[in-house]
Amino acid sequence: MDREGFLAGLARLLEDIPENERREALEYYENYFDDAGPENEARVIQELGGTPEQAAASIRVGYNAGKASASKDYGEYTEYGYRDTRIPRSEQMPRPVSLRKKKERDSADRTDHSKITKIVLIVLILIATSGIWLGIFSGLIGMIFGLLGGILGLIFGIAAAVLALLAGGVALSVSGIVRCLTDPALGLLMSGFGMLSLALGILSLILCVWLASKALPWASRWSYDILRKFCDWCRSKWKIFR
Amino acid sequence: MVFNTGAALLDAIVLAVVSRKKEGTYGYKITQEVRQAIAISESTLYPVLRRLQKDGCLDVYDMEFRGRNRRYYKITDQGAAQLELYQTEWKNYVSRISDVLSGNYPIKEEGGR
Repeated sequence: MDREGFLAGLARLLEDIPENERREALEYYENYFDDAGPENEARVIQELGGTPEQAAASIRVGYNAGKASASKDYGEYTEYGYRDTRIPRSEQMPRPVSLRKKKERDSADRTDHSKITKIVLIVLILIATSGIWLGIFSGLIGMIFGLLGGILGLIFGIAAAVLALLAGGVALSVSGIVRCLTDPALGLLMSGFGMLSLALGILSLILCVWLASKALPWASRWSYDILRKFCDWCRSKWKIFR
Repeated sequence: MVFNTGAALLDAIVLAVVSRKKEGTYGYKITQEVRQAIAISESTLYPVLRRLQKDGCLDVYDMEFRGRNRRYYKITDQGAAQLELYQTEWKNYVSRISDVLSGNYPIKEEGGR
């Protein structure tokens, strides 16, 4: 992204704030690029976050804070400082990385030995029991594919049944009506069954459409929830282990 | 940097930087000078300048520079007063914190005990 792209993007992102505020901000950044010089253009854009999103967010937050302090209702806004969670990349201020790293290093020194033995032990156990794991793994894979195949088969089966009901119904009623001319009793019976089958076909078609629109999204959400819970559980276990 | 810089401190730093130039200074330069003191991203300063301007602490004016307009920021009397307040507050704050951190905090009974 170059200067023109950045400024155009910024203008687009700030469409919802008043015209004079937007122009003011754009002029500031135009000025900024001019003063930085073309040789620093790439660096400036990179330090602004690479895209205009971060700059736009901080301009908007500043604008909202200005409005809020004018109404004196939002004392909270005046302390937004650098650590505003409303700004997407929170790297307004570098995190105290050095402090955190140091702590981690300290604890790592202390637990190094027990950790290594633990890992070696786990690897050994995994190798020793690899047959079981492979079996379980392939079993799981098989189960998943089996389930998917079953579901797919079920869907096709239902679709075929519905189609058969509809087509059979139409055919039977048409031939029944034709038959009425020669043999009224049989003709009426045939067309009656034909229409019954047609009605059943239409009903099941409606049912299928309803299921697809209601039940499928629900089922996918449900399985997603289960999956996420499982992941969370794994993560918590992993943390405890570490 | 382990310690956070609050909005007030950033205001103080910006006011101090701007006040060093009697005839005013411009956005890019202010950013570079502020960044000599604290690590901020380039997008942080515009809202601060805009707010200080709205609060009447900074004045803006445009001046021609090499065939284009450049916006200058200049401290107002109100801004200078605000800066003075910040400077006093900062001195008190720093000396108290230094005392505590270096371990010779004067033990004082407070709160009517």
